[in-house]
Parts: sequence; structure tokens; C-alpha cells
Amino acid sequence: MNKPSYTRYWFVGGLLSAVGLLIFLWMVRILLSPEAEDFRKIGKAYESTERIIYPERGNIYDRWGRLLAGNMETYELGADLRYVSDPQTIAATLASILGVDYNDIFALVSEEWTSDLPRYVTLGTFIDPEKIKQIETIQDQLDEQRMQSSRRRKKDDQMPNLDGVQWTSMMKRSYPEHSLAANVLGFFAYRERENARGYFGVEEKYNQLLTGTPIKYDDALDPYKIKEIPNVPPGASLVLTIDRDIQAMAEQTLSQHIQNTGSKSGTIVIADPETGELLAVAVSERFDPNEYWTYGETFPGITAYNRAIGTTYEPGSVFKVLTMAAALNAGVVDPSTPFLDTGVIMVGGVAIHNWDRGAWGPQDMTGCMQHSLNVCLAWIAQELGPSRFYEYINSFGIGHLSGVDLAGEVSQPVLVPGDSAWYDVNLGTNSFGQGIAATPIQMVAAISSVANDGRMMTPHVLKSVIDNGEQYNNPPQVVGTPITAETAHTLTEMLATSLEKEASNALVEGYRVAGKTGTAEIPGPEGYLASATNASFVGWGPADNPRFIVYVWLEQPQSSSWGSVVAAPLFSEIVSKLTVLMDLPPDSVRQELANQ
Amino acid sequence: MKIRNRLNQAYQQAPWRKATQKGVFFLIVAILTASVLWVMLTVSVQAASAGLDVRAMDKTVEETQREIASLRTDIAVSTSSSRMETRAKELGFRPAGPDEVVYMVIPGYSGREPRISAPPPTVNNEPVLIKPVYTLSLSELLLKGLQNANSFSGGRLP
Repeated sequence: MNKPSYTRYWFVGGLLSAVGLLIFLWMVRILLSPEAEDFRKIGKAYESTERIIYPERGNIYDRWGRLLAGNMETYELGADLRYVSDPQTIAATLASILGVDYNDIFALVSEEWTSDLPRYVTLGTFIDPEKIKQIETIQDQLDEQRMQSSRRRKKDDQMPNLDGVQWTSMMKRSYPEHSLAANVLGFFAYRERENARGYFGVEEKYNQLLTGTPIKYDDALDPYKIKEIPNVPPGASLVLTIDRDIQAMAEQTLSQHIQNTGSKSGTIVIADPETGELLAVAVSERFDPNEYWTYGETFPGITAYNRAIGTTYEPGSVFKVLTMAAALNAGVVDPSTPFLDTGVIMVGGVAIHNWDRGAWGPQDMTGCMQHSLNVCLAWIAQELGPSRFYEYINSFGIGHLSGVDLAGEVSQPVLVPGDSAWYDVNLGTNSFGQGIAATPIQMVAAISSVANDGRMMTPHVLKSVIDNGEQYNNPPQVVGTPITAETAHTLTEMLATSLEKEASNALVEGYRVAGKTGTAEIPGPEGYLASATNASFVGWGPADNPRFIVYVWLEQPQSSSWGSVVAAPLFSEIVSKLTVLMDLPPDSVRQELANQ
Repeated sequence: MKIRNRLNQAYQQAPWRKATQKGVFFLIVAILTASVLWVMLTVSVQAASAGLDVRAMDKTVEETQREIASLRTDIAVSTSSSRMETRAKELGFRPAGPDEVVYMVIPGYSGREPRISAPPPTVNNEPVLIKPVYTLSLSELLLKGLQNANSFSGGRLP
């Protein structure tokens, strides 16, 4: 019996072992080579891709839950050059649907690309879904034609197609009310993509809240390692104090009056004096934030986005409300304090005259307010003294930011004794609102204390925040109590009486309102302008239980320069419409209903 | 002892029995290996398929969220102040004047209250969708199963 030979087995086994060992050593060499780290990186790149998820931007609603700012679907259109075979058809189709230049698209999609790696070119951004639908329809039709003719045509024949064209959906900011309340909302510059943020108004002030927190995560390309996309909560939604209907009414009425009076611009602020909630803020310069890139056309140069908070002006006689409030509160005067108006008063060596340069004879304090006598108010300021006068002005918040929650608020410091630019005459002129500047929102905040038992509230537009399905209310904040409730009631009564005695254009049938006109000269580079004025009116009502305060400012009206002629009627019209929108019954009906 | 000797003798007399024994043994190993491979392949395919399904569903969720946001805005556009005013005018309505409004006391009604009629934007609070069985390797799964079994066996009866 022959002994079996194992030589062949040893040879094959040895050979395989040697090959295995070689492979093993080669792998060790690769792992230890300088390029190993690069290989790992390449491998990592194929394993997953880093992705950032941006939350849906929060919505903005008016006080009744009507959408003022939301989001809409839009598309980015592009092409993967690996699959593009018919650049002409792509260029012609997109040119006809999107209205873009044929040559531009053709140049992009006809780039030579032979690699298997993807090459993506962007052909358009922020394209409406309807246009994408049209492109999709054409693509389907072309595919159908190609399918049908595939048997008949020769191998080299190429049918028209849109191969390689791709689209990706994304969100863009949308303002369904267009220009309505645009000055309150601001705008979100969504075209800046990753760097997009809110500008002006609520969009800027609450940008962080609205944006939410983007989340970065590794999106696995290996299907075995795919994980859930992390839950990204949307940005918080905001409910504003703005009433859409009141805002629309204010904007329409303002536009109409600007046209009728030939004013350069106009501003209306409507607020609830009890809470400081702003119900409407209307300004003449408005634009559609859906087309925010046209911003510069509507707001050239240094034009404020929202005059109510972004422009200071010398308010004129509406400021007398604050001077009188200070004097009444300090006990310097009372409504029956007599004053003999001689038509002129010397303050710091400068003569101050009344608006008509006339002498109005014996007056009481109500008469001083009724006839808007500069001489009387300058006398009151002197009686009060500069120290107390400016203390009150300070406590009314003049010269400070009101704290309104809108981006872009400005203020102008008040000159006080001790400042190099302050002169004794300033006390006199400041008493009737000249030589001192404030924004309409500062004036509203200050004067609302007279309409709210002496309490001054922070003006605000944010009513509540909805975050993760929970609603957080923004409670009203008291800034201070510059005057007592008694002073506030007394002054309201004086101003209501003065309007009635004057048979003012500001009166509203059925409602007793208190208020004050203002006609201010406008400072220029070489002193006050000769024929231009700012016409204002501030009023609140119902006088016995104020529910609203309305501030009106018309800049350089042409039909008349007087606030009593142009601003007072605007106030009256606003209030007569406002009472309907606020379901405010006339005083007589209200008292009747209260007695039932 | 006798039986053992007989078996040895029987196998020596019939070598095919040894071959059959080896064959059966090889088949058992092969079948077991194939079974393990089949299980691994099935689980892998299911995991990959589930992963792709998850990705597709994530995309659907995103699309749906975008669609909801768009529709919400569409509704707002259709009921915007200017559109509603135009429609009201076309239907012959006009704004009521203060003297045309009738006020009355309605017991229990304290006036219009500020409220939100629109819900907040989409909020995702869904539980984890992918079961661990689809995210673990077979070895990890077996190890976890063993750990679970240990934890059960180590428990106390109440």
C-alpha cells in the first residue's frame, strides 16, 4: 500500500497562506500610510452628509388670530449635468415659463461634464409652485412622447427632453395682507438663505424667537444607518396687539387725508391707554414686504421705516398737555387759576407770543388750553420752575426710548439746565412743544398717563407668544406714575370741556372725548421754516372711561397749516370709525345699558 | 461493551456508513450556516428597506408641513382685509356708521375676547419611529437579547 502524498496540499496551502499574509501586510501598510487619514475622510464623506435643519419661521397673527406673516412653499430649480442631454429644450422651456434669458440657461446646462460625479447647477430660485407644475407637465409630456416613439426611431435619434432638470422645495416668508401693517411687521429677508434674518419692526425685534433653533445632524447615506430626522420645533409664533381692521381703517383714512390736505407724510397711533397695547400704527410710507428688495425705493436715504417710532419732531401745542399735567400735579395751578393774557411774555430775555400774536385777556387754565395760549403755558412753566418742569418731562419719558417692542426706535435727548445748548428761553418754548423733540410713540406713552389714572404704560405690540403649542401672554407693564389719578381726571375734564366750548373739529357725535391740537413750526438749518408746519392732534375717549388714545401727525399740510383744521377732523373721523370697530356704544347708550 | 464492539464492526464492514455520517454532518453545518446567513440577509434587507422608508416618510412629512404652511397662507390671502372689503362691496355691503349700530345687553356675553383662531405652526411630538431592531447589528441584537434574558431571570417575583 502506497503512502499518500501530501506535497500538492502543502503547496496549495502554503501559496494561499502567503497570499493571505501579503494581503494582511498590505492592509497594515495602508492603515499606517500617510494617506490613511485622507482615505478615512473620503470614507466618512460617503458614509454621511452633514445637514442643517432650519425650523419653519414662526407666524405672526393680529390680536384676533388673523395671519399677518406666514410661510409659503417655493422652489429652487437646478440641473444635474450628468443627465442633461438636451440643453436647447431645457433653455427654451425655462425661458418661456420663467421668463429668463435663453442664452443664460443654455450656457449653464450645456457645460461639458463627463464625470460620474454629480455636477449641480442652479437655474432659478424662489420659483412659484405653479411654474414648477408647468415644467413638470411639460416634462411628463416629453417623456410620454419619447416612450411612444421609442420603437419607431433609430438608435441615434434624440427626442426633446428635460432630463437632468430637478427642483427642490423650500419655504419663503409671505405677508398675506401685503402692505397692511408692514411698518409694524418689518420684513424677513428670506433670499439671504442661511443668513436670512428679520429687518425692522417685529421681524427684527423678535427675530430670535421667530427663527427657532436650527439643528445640525449627520444624514446617513448608508441605508442601514439611516436614523430619524431630529424633531425640529418651529419658531415661536407671535400674537400682536394690532387689530387688522383698525389698522386697515387707520391706513385708509390717513392716505385719504394726506391726499386731501397735501401733506408730505402722516402718522396715526391708536392705543389702549389702560394697557399700552398698540391697536394700530399707520404711517404714510408703506411698501409690500413680499417684495422687500424694493425697500430702498419706498424709504430712500434716511427715511424712517416707521415714523411713529423712528422720527422725532417738535410736537407743538399737543405738548401743552404734559406742561399742564405737571403744573396741576405740582399744585402750581388748578383749573380755575386766573391768568391775564397780554399777548406776550418775556422768558430769558426773549419775547414769546401766542400763535395768533393776539392778547386773549382774562383766562382760566381751561381757557388757556382751549385757546392754546403759548404765553399762558410759558408762564405756567416759569411758575413751575425749570427744575420741576424738567423732572416732570423726564418722568413722562420724553427724551428716552419708550421701550416699544419694535426695532428702530429713536429718541432725542432733552436739553436741560446745565447743558451748554440750554438757555432760559428754552423753558418757555419747551412748555408749548417747541425746541423739544419726541417721536409720536413717546408722546402717546406720555399722554396716555392722563387717560389712565396717571399710570404710564409701556407701549407694546406683542400680546402673546406661542411656543411648542403653549401660549405665553405678555402682561402690560407700568412705566411709572408721573401724575396722580386726580390730576389725570381733572386734566381730562378740562380738555374735554375746552373741545366742547371751542366746538372743535375733533368732536365726535355721541362720544365725549378729550384732546388737544398742535401746530408746530419746523426747524431748518437757518431757523424755523417760514411756511411749513407740523399739524398734530392727541385725543382719548370716552372721557369718563378712556378706551382709546389716538395720536395724529400730518407733516407740512398744504390745505391749511393749522392742526385744528387738518389734524382735528382726521382724529374725529378715525374715532367715529374706531368706535364701531371696537363695539363702543355712544355715551348715552352705554349709561343706559349700565343702568339696566 | 458488546454492543459497542458490534457497532465498530458494522462500520468497518460498511465504509459507506462513515461517508454518510460525514455527509450528514456537513449538511447540518451547511444548513445552519445558510440559516444564519439567511437571517442576517433578511434582517439587513429589512433594515435597509426600513431606512429608505423612513427617509421617504421624512420627506413626506417635510412636504406636508410645507403644504400646510402654504395652505394656511393661501387662506389668509383669500380672507385678507383688502379681499374681504372688495368682496363685501361687490355684494352690496358698506361700512356701518356709528348711528346705524344697535347695542344691546346680552346676558353672559362680556364682549369679544382676544383669541387665537389659527393653531401654532406644526409641532412634532411623535414617538421614536424606528424600532431598535432596525438600527442594531445582528451581534448587538443577540447581545441585547441575552442581556434582556438575564435581567428577566435575575428578577424577583413579587
